[in-house]
Amino acid sequence: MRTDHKGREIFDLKSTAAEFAAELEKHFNYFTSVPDSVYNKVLVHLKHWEYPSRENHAVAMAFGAHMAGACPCVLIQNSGLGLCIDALLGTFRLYNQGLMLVVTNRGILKWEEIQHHDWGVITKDLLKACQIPVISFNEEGLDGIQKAAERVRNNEIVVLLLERGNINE
Amino acid sequence: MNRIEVINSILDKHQDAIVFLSNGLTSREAVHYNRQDRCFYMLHAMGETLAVAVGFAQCRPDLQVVVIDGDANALMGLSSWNMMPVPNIIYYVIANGISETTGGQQLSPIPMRPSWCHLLEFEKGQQDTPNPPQPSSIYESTQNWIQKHTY
Repeated sequence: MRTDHKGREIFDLKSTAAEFAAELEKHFNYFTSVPDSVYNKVLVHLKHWEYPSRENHAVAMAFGAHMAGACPCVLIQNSGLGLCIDALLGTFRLYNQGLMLVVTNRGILKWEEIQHHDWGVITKDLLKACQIPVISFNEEGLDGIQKAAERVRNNEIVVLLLERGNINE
Repeated sequence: MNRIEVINSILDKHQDAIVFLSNGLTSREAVHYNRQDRCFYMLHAMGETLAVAVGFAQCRPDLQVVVIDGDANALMGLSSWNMMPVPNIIYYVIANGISETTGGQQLSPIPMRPSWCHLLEFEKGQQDTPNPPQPSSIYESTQNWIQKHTY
């Protein structure tokens, strides 16, 4: 753990946002995101990304792109899981296709605003209940993207979980 | 016209297009009475047909993409309309004013009608159809069609 410029405890830096975006673009070529502030500096480094109004549409667009032969990746905040699970199960899971979602694990640091706290408590259990494997960027770093991409090629839905501080904001 | 007649009229009008059909009776009747490889029949993910088509169309600008959305599906997917218009998408809402798949509950009308939204009304009533094919069969058929139409 480390502290940010405001003296708040955050997780260790695992890569810069630019390095993170570059690694994503090695494996994926179609990005949809409902932004989280954690992605602020990542999204500017992606060559192109789509901004739908809701996370479920981000997943559905990714499914269409996948059908067209692209390699999609979806970047959302953990609260967006609440909107997109039916879209995930009704597209990628139902038709046995793989997808990587990058999910920020908001709400597990004590200083984070209260509206994030429930999601910090339930995110991992919710993904487990959905039988969606989690790769921790905090533990794996940039190698986690490669590992997630391999699982996607095996037709799995996989979440790369980012902790606050793992990339520069 | 009834549901399958209005669906067939759209398919006849766009014979070279890939077609995305929303879940429920729209897909169910279409796949039973007029299954085509170029049609992708959504079986779930209600409200997402247009968003799926947008992702597809953005990656395959060389193909014409048609969406056939039931009106209940269209209402659920209104928040994806901000992604439109997409140049190679033709968007149809087929409307009978009720959610017939779930028993005929009354719907609110579609609250807006942008120029790219083609609304076709049809009569209430449903055909007695069997369960649709397995998802893997649907996905594979459409993929075969897509592969043949890759330039």
